[in-house]
Amino acid sequence: MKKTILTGVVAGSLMALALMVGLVESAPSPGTTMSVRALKARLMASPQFLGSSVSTLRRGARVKVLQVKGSWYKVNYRGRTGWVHKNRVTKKVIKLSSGDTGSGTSRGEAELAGRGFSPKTEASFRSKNPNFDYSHVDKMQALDVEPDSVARFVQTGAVNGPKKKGGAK
Amino acid sequence: MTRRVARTILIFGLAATLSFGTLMGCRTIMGLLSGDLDLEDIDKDIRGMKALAHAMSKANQAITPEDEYYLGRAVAVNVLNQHRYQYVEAGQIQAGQLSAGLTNYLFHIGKILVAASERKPLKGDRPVPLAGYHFIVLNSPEINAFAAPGGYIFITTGILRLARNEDEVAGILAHEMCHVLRGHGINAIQKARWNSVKKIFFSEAASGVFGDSAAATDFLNAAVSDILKRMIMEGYSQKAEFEADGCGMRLLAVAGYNSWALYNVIKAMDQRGVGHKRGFYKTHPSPMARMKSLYKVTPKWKYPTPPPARYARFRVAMGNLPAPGTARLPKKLTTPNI
Repeated sequence: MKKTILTGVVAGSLMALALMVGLVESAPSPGTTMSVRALKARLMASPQFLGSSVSTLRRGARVKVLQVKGSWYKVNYRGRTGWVHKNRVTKKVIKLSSGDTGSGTSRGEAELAGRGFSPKTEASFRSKNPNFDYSHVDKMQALDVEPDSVARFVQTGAVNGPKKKGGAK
Repeated sequence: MTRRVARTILIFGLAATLSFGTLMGCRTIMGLLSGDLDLEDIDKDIRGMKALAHAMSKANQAITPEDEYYLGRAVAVNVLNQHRYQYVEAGQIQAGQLSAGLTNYLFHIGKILVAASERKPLKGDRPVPLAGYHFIVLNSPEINAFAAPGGYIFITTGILRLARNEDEVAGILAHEMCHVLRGHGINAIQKARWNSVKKIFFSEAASGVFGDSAAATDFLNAAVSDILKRMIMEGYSQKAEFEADGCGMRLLAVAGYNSWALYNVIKAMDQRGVGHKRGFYKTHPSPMARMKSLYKVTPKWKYPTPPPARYARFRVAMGNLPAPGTARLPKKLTTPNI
């Protein structure tokens, strides 16, 4: 009995590890072309989440990696240069039927398909549940605030951690 | 015989790991007292977190961010429907404009926490939701908050009224975000249900093919029911709640908010008698048990007094709360039709 449990645990962990390896991409080398996986990705002026952004990229946009700095990639998108976080992009090509959507459109969203669910799954779910008003979810999802506004918010509120000898980081 | 030897080795190994951990803990406590701790060392101070780790279901390993997107939207629409689409600043949100106000305020705090979660992810965190995190205040006197997969966070006016400062608001948001990060919604999908479709979710080739079938809609429908049942009616498991508390406290700490803020909100809930009645949440731990668990892991750092600006903006934002008694009570949960 115990042996079975142990074997199960070991097998489970190995499987999880293999999957993690499959899911986590290695850092790209300069010159690599990557695709934006997130519905919306900020091209930041410097390699940080909060601060001024150069542009907003949509899912499917193809960017060229110029430099790698930890979890941040300096990329070029149609002549514009900025930093994008590794969580927003993938080496895989995000297939969109009408090519590179670039910024400004939400076509990438409509083309979004997972392994199990697709836009058609949602359409069919909605038609079977006509009492659910998805427009509210769409509105909620469209909300956003500018990363430089958040950076100022951090600064004016001095949200920077405990007391330290060397001063706040 | 061999088994006994193996067991002895295992026990010694565990003991060695434990004592090493304790020693490391002491070292960092000394570091804290001398005040030379760097925020980058944060996890050395939050050692007990491992004990709070909650096993993720197999579904969490296979459900891609793309799948989570659709699952989350379906759960979110149910939560909004249950609350009769009554939320604060609905006009502003319908217009797609976030200017000054409560929702805008929550998004600012939320974004700081999101950045913290990406800067220092916990081992086993789910990938960041494709659409990012979104926050809405439900006009409901109930002291509650919900987190749908995919990053849709709902907090009630009732629980917001318990918060006494910005850090406590951040504590509520951080706890909810951790339900998403730690895959608690996806964990709620019943095992048998998951087993019937798991092959598809593990196969890259299935992308976009299965999704168009009636079976996919049936699975989405059933998964949503499982998640709602846990999220709204029964509450997540005790372990999941303890984990979301630990993870939420850590998010506060990484973000630069007071790491005791979540503890303080739970204390306020306890003082208000939330969760004291039996059967309110069958599986939900009592506020007292949660405080006890958090007390063990929260680092005892000293924080400078926040500048008056932080409290002032909290007061201004909270001024947008609708008058108590204006909300129509939530409907009884309607499970999807099919």
